[in-house]
Amino acid sequence: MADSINNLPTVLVVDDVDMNVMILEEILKDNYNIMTASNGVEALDKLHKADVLPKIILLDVFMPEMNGYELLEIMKSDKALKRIPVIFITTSDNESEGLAAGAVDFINKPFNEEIVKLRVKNQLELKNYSDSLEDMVAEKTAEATATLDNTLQALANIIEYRNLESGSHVKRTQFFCKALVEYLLESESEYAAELRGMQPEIITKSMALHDVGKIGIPDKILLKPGKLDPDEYDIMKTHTVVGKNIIEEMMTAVKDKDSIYLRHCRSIAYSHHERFDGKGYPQGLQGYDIPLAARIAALSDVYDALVCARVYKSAMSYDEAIHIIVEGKGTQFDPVLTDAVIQIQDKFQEISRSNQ
Amino acid sequence: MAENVITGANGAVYINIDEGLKRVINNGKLFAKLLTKFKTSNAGSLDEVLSFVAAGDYEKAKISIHTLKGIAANLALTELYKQTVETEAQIKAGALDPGTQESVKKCFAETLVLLDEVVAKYGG
Repeated sequence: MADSINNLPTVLVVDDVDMNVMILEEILKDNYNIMTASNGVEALDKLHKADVLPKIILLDVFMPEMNGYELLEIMKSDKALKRIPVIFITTSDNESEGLAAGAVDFINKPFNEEIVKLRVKNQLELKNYSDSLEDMVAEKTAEATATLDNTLQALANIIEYRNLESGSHVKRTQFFCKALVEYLLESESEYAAELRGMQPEIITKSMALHDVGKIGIPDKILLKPGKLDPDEYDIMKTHTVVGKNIIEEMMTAVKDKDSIYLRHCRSIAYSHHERFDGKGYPQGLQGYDIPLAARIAALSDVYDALVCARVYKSAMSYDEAIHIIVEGKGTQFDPVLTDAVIQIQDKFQEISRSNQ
Repeated sequence: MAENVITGANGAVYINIDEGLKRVINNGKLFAKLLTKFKTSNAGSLDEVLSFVAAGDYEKAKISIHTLKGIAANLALTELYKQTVETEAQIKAGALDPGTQESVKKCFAETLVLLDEVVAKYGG
């Protein structure tokens, strides 16, 4: 695979003996661009500064400053460099050490023109094949992720169409969630580090499925104008468990129990009605036992429910909604998240107004 | 056809010109350039090895003789290569025999002289 302006792949030759470098250059110059370095330190410097990384490295073992083994060890811990195959330039008495250290092949001194050319060519072909496989996997993964995204969004839309009163509830709760997460990250709140490890953009996407379990709630309850009686309310509460089950079935279907997207979806669908004081449902989880994504979802969901009219209630003013949320600090809601909502209440109002 | 070689006073092959040329894809000028470079840049390399041995620094001696052996192999300096193989083996074993030391010194000096002939022929 060509990688430079003259359409030739680049080979880096690292050897402290310039005569060895000159011979290898002569052997390879017609088919490759040659970069050279006289020791590991210089090679590393050139690799870090290179616009285009070499496709392969021919590396001497014994060199001053930094020898071949040391350079290879450093390359292994570098995300970009560890993928460059290394062929050791060696003598027959240390071939096995070179291969054990992670070299893909070796070239013996004295050099044999045909063998040098063939070993470089063969390893480049393997490298190109491996690169194309990785590209293919990345492409397929992106396709699978897009399919999952679309499926989950379609599922969220179905819920929303069915639950007519909520209008753009799903979309707004996603925006509230996004605003809240962004504020927590930007203000370096105590949740910032945890959020960064959770792929925060996925939390926002997962919010779309928070009410997916409502698909299992009968219309007469879901669309009932007025207050639900205790039995009806108990049935309504099961939407959290139904939601969890649906997501878990999807995890099984896509054979990916570790998908962070589906894990956030499950946390949110299952636990967005838990309360910080442990009096929520379905599990009665308390405080930090409630997943952070679900605690964020709870505030986003309740805020929207308060400021929107529903079949069973009229809309509340933004100030009244914030007042209710403040009253729930530490009881219904996570106190840190409640404070964050207070800080960005203008943003919440704007989201609400522009997404009716 | 007789091999294109240069022999030393003892009749052994010191420089295998065919092999050296083959290594640089028959680029005679480059071969001459490499031999000239060896003469100018590496004239003291064996002395360096022996001074490490004299100082008891066998680790450094091992690396230096290994490098010299590799160059000799690549430049088709046949006799020097053979003798550096033996020298390296003794250094690795921790003791360099005085006879081997004298022999490799003599071989190295003779090689430096003989390679002028190749440089004159291909250096153009």
